[in-house]
Amino acid sequence: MISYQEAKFRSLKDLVDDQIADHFVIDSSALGTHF
Amino acid sequence: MRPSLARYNNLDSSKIRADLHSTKAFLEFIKEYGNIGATEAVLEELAVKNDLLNSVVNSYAGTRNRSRQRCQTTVTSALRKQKKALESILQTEREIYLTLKSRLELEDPDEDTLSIVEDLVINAQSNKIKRKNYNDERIVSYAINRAFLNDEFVAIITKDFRFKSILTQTQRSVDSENRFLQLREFLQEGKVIVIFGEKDKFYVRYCSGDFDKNYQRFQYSKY
Repeated sequence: MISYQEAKFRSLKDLVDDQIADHFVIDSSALGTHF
Repeated sequence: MRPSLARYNNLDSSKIRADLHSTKAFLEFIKEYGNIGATEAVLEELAVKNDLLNSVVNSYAGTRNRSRQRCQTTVTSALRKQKKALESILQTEREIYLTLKSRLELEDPDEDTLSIVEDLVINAQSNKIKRKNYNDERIVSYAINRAFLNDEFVAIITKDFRFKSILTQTQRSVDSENRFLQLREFLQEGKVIVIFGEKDKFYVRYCSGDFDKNYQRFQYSKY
Protein backbone atom coordinates (compact mmCIF):
# COMPACT_ATOMS: atom_id res chain seq x y z
CA MET A 1 0.00 0.00 0.00
CA ILE A 2 1.39 3.41 -0.90
CA SER A 3 0.98 6.48 1.23
CA TYR A 4 -1.04 9.45 0.04
CA GLN A 5 2.22 11.38 -0.39
CA GLU A 6 3.64 8.74 -2.70
CA ALA A 7 0.37 8.61 -4.64
CA LYS A 8 0.47 12.37 -4.97
CA PHE A 9 4.05 12.31 -6.14
CA ARG A 10 3.23 9.60 -8.66
CA SER A 11 0.34 11.66 -10.04
CA LEU A 12 2.75 14.53 -10.70
CA LYS A 13 5.28 12.24 -12.38
CA ASP A 14 2.49 10.85 -14.56
CA LEU A 15 1.58 14.35 -15.75
CA VAL A 16 5.21 15.11 -16.62
CA ASP A 17 5.64 11.69 -18.28
CA ASP A 18 2.50 12.33 -20.33
CA GLN A 19 4.24 15.43 -21.72
CA ILE A 20 1.23 17.65 -21.23
CA ALA A 21 3.70 20.54 -21.51
CA ASP A 22 7.12 21.15 -23.02
CA HIS A 23 8.32 22.92 -19.90
CA PHE A 24 7.24 22.89 -16.26
CA VAL A 25 7.66 25.80 -13.86
CA ILE A 26 7.54 24.82 -10.23
CA ASP A 27 6.18 27.22 -7.64
CA SER A 28 7.78 27.31 -4.19
CA SER A 29 4.51 26.13 -2.61
CA ALA A 30 5.00 22.77 -4.35
CA LEU A 31 8.70 22.40 -3.61
CA GLY A 32 10.66 20.02 -1.44
CA THR A 33 9.93 19.67 2.26
CA HIS A 34 6.32 20.77 2.07
CA PHE A 35 5.70 18.57 -0.95
CA MET B 1 8.08 22.50 9.65
CA ARG B 2 7.23 24.99 12.41
CA PRO B 3 10.11 27.05 13.85
CA SER B 4 8.10 27.66 17.03
CA LEU B 5 8.19 23.93 17.74
CA ALA B 6 11.82 23.61 16.71
CA ARG B 7 12.72 26.29 19.26
CA TYR B 8 11.76 23.89 22.04
CA ASN B 9 13.25 20.79 20.41
CA ASN B 10 9.73 19.58 19.96
CA LEU B 11 9.61 18.39 16.36
CA ASP B 12 7.89 15.13 15.53
CA SER B 13 10.44 12.46 14.50
CA SER B 14 8.06 10.80 12.05
CA LYS B 15 7.31 14.18 10.44
CA ILE B 16 11.04 14.89 10.07
CA ARG B 17 11.57 11.48 8.46
CA ALA B 18 8.64 12.06 6.08
CA ASP B 19 9.99 15.50 5.15
CA LEU B 20 13.45 14.06 4.52
CA HIS B 21 11.96 11.34 2.34
CA SER B 22 9.82 13.75 0.29
CA THR B 23 12.64 16.27 -0.10
CA LYS B 24 15.04 13.61 -1.40
CA ALA B 25 12.35 12.20 -3.70
CA PHE B 26 11.77 15.67 -5.06
CA LEU B 27 15.45 16.23 -5.75
CA GLU B 28 15.61 12.94 -7.66
CA PHE B 29 12.48 13.95 -9.54
CA ILE B 30 13.85 17.27 -10.81
CA LYS B 31 17.17 15.64 -11.65
CA GLU B 32 15.34 13.04 -13.71
CA TYR B 33 13.38 15.63 -15.71
CA GLY B 34 15.46 18.37 -17.27
CA ASN B 35 12.37 20.29 -18.39
CA ILE B 36 11.40 21.29 -14.85
CA GLY B 37 12.58 24.74 -13.84
CA ALA B 38 11.92 27.73 -11.63
CA THR B 39 11.84 31.48 -11.92
CA GLU B 40 13.75 34.24 -10.14
CA ALA B 41 10.74 34.76 -7.86
CA VAL B 42 10.65 31.08 -6.91
CA LEU B 43 14.39 31.01 -6.22
CA GLU B 44 14.08 34.10 -4.00
CA GLU B 45 11.37 32.37 -1.94
CA LEU B 46 13.37 29.16 -1.80
CA ALA B 47 16.45 31.04 -0.52
CA VAL B 48 14.39 32.59 2.30
CA LYS B 49 12.99 29.16 3.17
CA ASN B 50 16.48 27.65 3.28
CA ASP B 51 17.73 30.47 5.54
CA LEU B 52 14.88 29.74 7.93
CA LEU B 53 15.62 26.03 7.83
CA ASN B 54 19.28 26.76 8.44
CA SER B 55 18.46 28.71 11.61
CA VAL B 56 16.25 25.85 12.81
CA VAL B 57 19.02 23.31 12.21
CA ASN B 58 21.63 25.47 13.95
CA SER B 59 19.56 26.02 17.06
CA TYR B 60 18.04 22.55 17.27
CA ALA B 61 19.30 20.52 20.22
CA GLY B 62 21.34 23.56 21.21
CA THR B 63 22.74 24.29 24.66
CA ARG B 64 19.75 26.35 25.73
CA ASN B 65 17.28 23.54 25.49
CA ARG B 66 19.29 20.54 26.59
CA SER B 67 17.87 18.45 29.39
CA ARG B 68 19.71 18.29 32.71
CA GLN B 69 20.78 14.94 34.05
CA ARG B 70 23.20 14.35 36.92
CA CYS B 71 24.13 18.02 36.91
CA GLN B 72 25.30 17.79 33.30
CA THR B 73 23.73 19.05 30.14
CA THR B 74 23.06 16.24 27.70
CA VAL B 75 21.55 15.74 24.28
CA THR B 76 19.50 12.61 23.94
CA SER B 77 20.20 10.13 21.19
CA ALA B 78 16.78 10.83 19.70
CA LEU B 79 17.53 14.54 19.47
CA ARG B 80 20.89 13.87 17.84
CA LYS B 81 19.18 11.74 15.19
CA GLN B 82 16.57 14.42 14.59
CA LYS B 83 19.26 17.07 14.17
CA LYS B 84 21.14 14.89 11.71
CA ALA B 85 17.96 14.36 9.68
CA LEU B 86 17.29 18.11 9.71
CA GLU B 87 20.81 18.73 8.43
CA SER B 88 20.17 16.24 5.64
CA ILE B 89 16.91 18.02 4.70
CA LEU B 90 18.75 21.33 4.57
CA GLN B 91 21.51 19.89 2.39
CA THR B 92 18.93 18.41 0.01
CA GLU B 93 16.95 21.65 -0.14
CA ARG B 94 20.17 23.51 -1.00
CA GLU B 95 20.85 21.02 -3.78
CA ILE B 96 17.33 21.56 -5.14
CA TYR B 97 17.96 25.31 -5.08
CA LEU B 98 21.31 25.01 -6.88
CA THR B 99 19.88 22.62 -9.50
CA LEU B 100 17.00 24.96 -10.33
CA LYS B 101 19.27 28.02 -10.25
CA SER B 102 21.74 26.48 -12.69
CA ARG B 103 18.87 25.63 -15.07
CA LEU B 104 17.55 29.18 -14.96
CA GLU B 105 21.03 30.56 -15.62
CA LEU B 106 21.23 28.49 -18.80
CA GLU B 107 18.14 30.22 -20.19
CA ASP B 108 18.35 33.28 -22.33
CA PRO B 109 15.41 35.35 -21.12
CA ASP B 110 14.12 38.32 -23.05
CA GLU B 111 13.89 40.77 -20.15
CA ASP B 112 12.14 43.40 -22.28
CA THR B 113 9.19 41.24 -23.21
CA LEU B 114 9.07 39.72 -19.71
CA SER B 115 8.75 43.19 -18.23
CA ILE B 116 5.87 44.01 -20.59
CA VAL B 117 4.07 40.76 -19.74
CA GLU B 118 4.60 41.37 -15.99
CA ASP B 119 2.95 44.79 -16.27
CA LEU B 120 0.10 43.24 -18.22
CA VAL B 121 -0.47 40.43 -15.71
CA ILE B 122 -0.23 42.63 -12.60
CA ASN B 123 -2.51 45.31 -14.01
CA ALA B 124 -5.04 42.70 -15.11
CA GLN B 125 -5.80 41.61 -11.56
CA SER B 126 -9.17 42.78 -10.33
CA ASN B 127 -8.14 42.65 -6.69
CA LYS B 128 -6.07 45.80 -6.30
CA ILE B 129 -5.14 45.20 -2.65
CA LYS B 130 -1.46 46.06 -2.25
CA ARG B 131 0.43 42.80 -1.87
CA LYS B 132 3.64 42.01 -0.02
CA ASN B 133 5.04 41.01 -3.38
CA TYR B 134 3.86 40.02 -6.84
CA ASN B 135 5.77 36.76 -7.02
CA ASP B 136 2.76 34.71 -8.14
CA GLU B 137 2.03 37.21 -10.91
CA ARG B 138 5.71 37.13 -11.89
CA ILE B 139 5.59 33.33 -12.19
CA VAL B 140 2.52 33.48 -14.42
CA SER B 141 4.23 36.20 -16.48
CA TYR B 142 7.30 34.04 -16.90
CA ALA B 143 5.17 31.09 -18.05
CA ILE B 144 3.26 33.20 -20.59
CA ASN B 145 6.43 34.89 -21.86
CA ARG B 146 8.36 31.66 -22.20
CA ALA B 147 5.47 29.89 -23.93
CA PHE B 148 4.94 32.77 -26.32
CA LEU B 149 8.60 33.31 -27.25
CA ASN B 150 9.33 29.61 -27.76
CA ASP B 151 5.90 28.61 -29.07
CA GLU B 152 5.66 25.86 -26.49
CA PHE B 153 3.32 24.56 -23.80
CA VAL B 154 4.29 25.66 -20.29
CA ALA B 155 2.74 24.25 -17.11
CA ILE B 156 2.93 25.83 -13.65
CA ILE B 157 3.08 23.29 -10.79
CA THR B 158 1.65 24.75 -7.61
CA LYS B 159 -0.37 24.19 -4.46
CA ASP B 160 -1.66 27.76 -4.49
CA PHE B 161 -5.21 28.50 -5.63
CA ARG B 162 -4.31 31.97 -6.92
CA PHE B 163 -2.63 30.89 -10.14
CA LYS B 164 -5.79 29.96 -11.98
CA SER B 165 -7.33 33.28 -11.03
CA ILE B 166 -4.25 35.25 -12.09
CA LEU B 167 -4.19 33.54 -15.48
CA THR B 168 -7.91 33.86 -16.17
CA GLN B 169 -7.95 37.53 -15.22
CA THR B 170 -4.99 38.11 -17.52
CA GLN B 171 -6.94 36.41 -20.30
CA ARG B 172 -9.94 38.62 -19.55
CA SER B 173 -7.69 41.63 -19.91
CA VAL B 174 -6.16 40.63 -23.25
CA ASP B 175 -9.60 39.59 -24.46
CA SER B 176 -10.85 43.15 -24.33
CA GLU B 177 -7.97 44.82 -26.20
CA ASN B 178 -7.22 44.31 -29.88
CA ARG B 179 -3.54 45.14 -29.47
CA PHE B 180 -3.20 41.82 -27.61
CA LEU B 181 -4.93 39.81 -30.32
CA GLN B 182 -1.87 37.64 -31.02
CA LEU B 183 -1.33 36.83 -27.34
CA ARG B 184 -5.05 36.22 -26.85
CA GLU B 185 -5.15 33.68 -29.67
CA PHE B 186 -1.94 32.08 -28.47
CA LEU B 187 -3.34 31.55 -24.96
CA GLN B 188 -6.58 30.26 -26.44
CA GLU B 189 -4.52 27.45 -27.97
CA GLY B 190 -4.01 26.17 -24.41
CA LYS B 191 -0.33 26.99 -24.19
CA VAL B 192 -0.32 27.79 -20.45
CA ILE B 193 -1.50 25.21 -17.91
CA VAL B 194 -1.92 25.20 -14.14
CA ILE B 195 -1.20 21.88 -12.38
CA PHE B 196 -2.57 21.95 -8.88
CA GLY B 197 -1.54 19.76 -5.93
CA GLU B 198 -4.18 18.64 -3.47
CA LYS B 199 -3.68 16.37 -0.47
CA ASP B 200 -3.35 13.17 -2.46
CA LYS B 201 -2.86 14.13 -6.11
CA PHE B 202 -1.78 16.64 -8.70
CA TYR B 203 -4.13 17.39 -11.57
CA VAL B 204 -4.64 19.91 -14.38
CA ARG B 205 -6.74 22.58 -12.69
CA TYR B 206 -6.81 24.95 -15.61
CA CYS B 207 -5.66 25.26 -19.20
CA SER B 208 -5.67 28.63 -20.96
CA GLY B 209 -7.52 26.97 -23.85
CA ASP B 210 -10.50 26.48 -21.52
CA PHE B 211 -11.00 30.21 -21.14
CA ASP B 212 -14.60 31.22 -21.58
CA LYS B 213 -14.95 34.97 -21.40
CA ASN B 214 -18.66 34.84 -20.61
CA TYR B 215 -18.19 32.28 -17.86
CA GLN B 216 -15.25 34.16 -16.40
CA ARG B 217 -17.11 37.44 -16.46
CA PHE B 218 -19.57 35.84 -14.06
CA GLN B 219 -17.14 33.78 -12.00
CA TYR B 220 -14.01 35.78 -11.43
CA SER B 221 -15.40 37.87 -8.59
CA LYS B 222 -15.36 34.71 -6.43
CA TYR B 223 -11.55 34.60 -6.26
